[in-house]
Amino acid sequence: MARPEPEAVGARRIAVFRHPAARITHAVLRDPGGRFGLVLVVTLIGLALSAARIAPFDPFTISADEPLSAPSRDHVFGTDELGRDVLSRTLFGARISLSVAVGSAGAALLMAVPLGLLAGYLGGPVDMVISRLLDTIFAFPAVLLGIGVVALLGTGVANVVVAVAIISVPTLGRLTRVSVLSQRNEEYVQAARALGASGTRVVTRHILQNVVPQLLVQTALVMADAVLLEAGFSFLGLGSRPPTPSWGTMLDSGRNFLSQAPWLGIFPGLAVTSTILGLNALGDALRAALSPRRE
Amino acid sequence: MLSYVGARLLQAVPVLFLSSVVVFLFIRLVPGDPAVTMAGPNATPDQVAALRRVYQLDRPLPVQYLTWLGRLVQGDLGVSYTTRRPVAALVAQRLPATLHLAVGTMLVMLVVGGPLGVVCAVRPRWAVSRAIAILNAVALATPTFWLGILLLLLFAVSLRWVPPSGFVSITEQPLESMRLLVLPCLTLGASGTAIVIRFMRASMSEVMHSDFIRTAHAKGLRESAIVTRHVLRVAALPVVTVLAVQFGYLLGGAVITEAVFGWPGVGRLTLDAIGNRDYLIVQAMMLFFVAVFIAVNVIADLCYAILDPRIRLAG
Repeated sequence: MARPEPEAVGARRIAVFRHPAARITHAVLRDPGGRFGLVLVVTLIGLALSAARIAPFDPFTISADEPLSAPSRDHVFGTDELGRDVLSRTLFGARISLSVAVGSAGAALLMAVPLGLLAGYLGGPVDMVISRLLDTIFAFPAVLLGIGVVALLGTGVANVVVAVAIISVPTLGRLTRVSVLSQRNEEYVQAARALGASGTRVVTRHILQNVVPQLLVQTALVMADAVLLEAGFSFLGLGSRPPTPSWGTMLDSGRNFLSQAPWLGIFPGLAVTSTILGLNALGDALRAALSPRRE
Repeated sequence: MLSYVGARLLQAVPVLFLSSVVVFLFIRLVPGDPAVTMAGPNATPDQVAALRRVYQLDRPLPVQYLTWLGRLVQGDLGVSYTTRRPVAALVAQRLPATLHLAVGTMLVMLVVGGPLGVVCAVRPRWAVSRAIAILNAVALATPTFWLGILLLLLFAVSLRWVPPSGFVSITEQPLESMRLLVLPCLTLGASGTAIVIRFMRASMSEVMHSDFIRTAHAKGLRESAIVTRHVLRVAALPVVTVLAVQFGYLLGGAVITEAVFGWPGVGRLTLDAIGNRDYLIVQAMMLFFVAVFIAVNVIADLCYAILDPRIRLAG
């Protein structure tokens, strides 16, 4: 007689009734990719926050007697053309990249979510206008659009944040709109309406909560894009300016010395790649955790 | 199908119109006066004013916009402020380089991405498939400009296998042209290839679990025949869409890759035009990119209908 063990039954029951946030965290942690992404992202945040404490040198101190010295015990990542410590600059660069990622994702959400909620919930002409607007932004090549925004507002990290946010609005806005459309006629929304809840209340209190998980996934991916775009803009000379230790700026100014000092290109690039790798892995694991196809 | 294409093109009109207004206003909001740039540093205010009159920059904005739109409809893109040459000629001069890059990159994505995607789908447990999956994640996370720099450093500077930069047409010097294309195409194609592999794997493994494939197995067909004749035909659909959209992006000018390899494509043309406030070039190029984007999406939908007879496009 095959009889399910009582512990197994109990365990399954607990898994079913757990809070959604706990269930998603559990699923992400069980996925090897998710664990990898989470460790990478948390490590990077830790390094960025403690950069001032753990960096072996000041990232701005120029030392004329040791320019372009190869990685050694003193300078683990070597020094750049002005004798600055590449490890320290890479650590401080994490601050800029992560601030741009968080800032632009936040700004994009602030613009995109209200637009998506309005378009999805109201429909009709409002939806028409917002959707065509998002289509139009989406149709421009991302990098050129960003360059245009930076040309308009001037170079600098803050304006790169605005540019990346504008580029990301269509994806987040469309996603919000589609999620709202799928929720709009659910029973819980009808129930809330029947109880006399106003449109604003239905959207902000009920629908929004059910859109958040999808937005979470996309936000991780938007942050990865932001890191990539910030590095790209700084590389083109449009983002942070020297001597700011941004990964893109480091790659741009190191470009001319690469044949003598390849470490100038390798370490900041590795930093960008591992950040994006971590955020992408986390985003993918979240998506898998939320996917209805999961058994 | 014709009515479908018609409907889609009709839908594109408001997007194109809106983007023409956006681009027109946007580039004029950017600080800097093209007349001052054209006149040079030693120009008197009178000379600047004269230039502004010649290029009709002193007219009210709505008049400028309508004049531009009127000429655009007749196929006249205007004259560049900085080079004083017709915009159409400047674009025509840069398009071949962009086309070379776009076609070469598409080839990389198809030739590398297609077979690797099939391997990953047919033999998901092979070590090779797992290695490909990891490489994929890395390729998607690598900034194009960094990859470009590393490839340049290795193959052009250290090993000297290929020249570091330059462009010649494939019709003039086929061999040299291909040598110059290898690195930019690999750089640009890396992330696209990863995307193709992912879509290929996902779409094929879905099809392989469907009923008609089980039937084919039951009939005793060889696996190679099933994969090539049955699975691929259906599974290619999403991949075709992905490739079409990627081609659109590639025609949109790979600004950063062009900067790394000194490639004389349309991306650089647009970038320089934004820097010089060469309004008419920026307007023409941006509108071109939007039009390409819309066209590519319509073509992708049409490919769907042609490859899969079950799909009927509603007009």
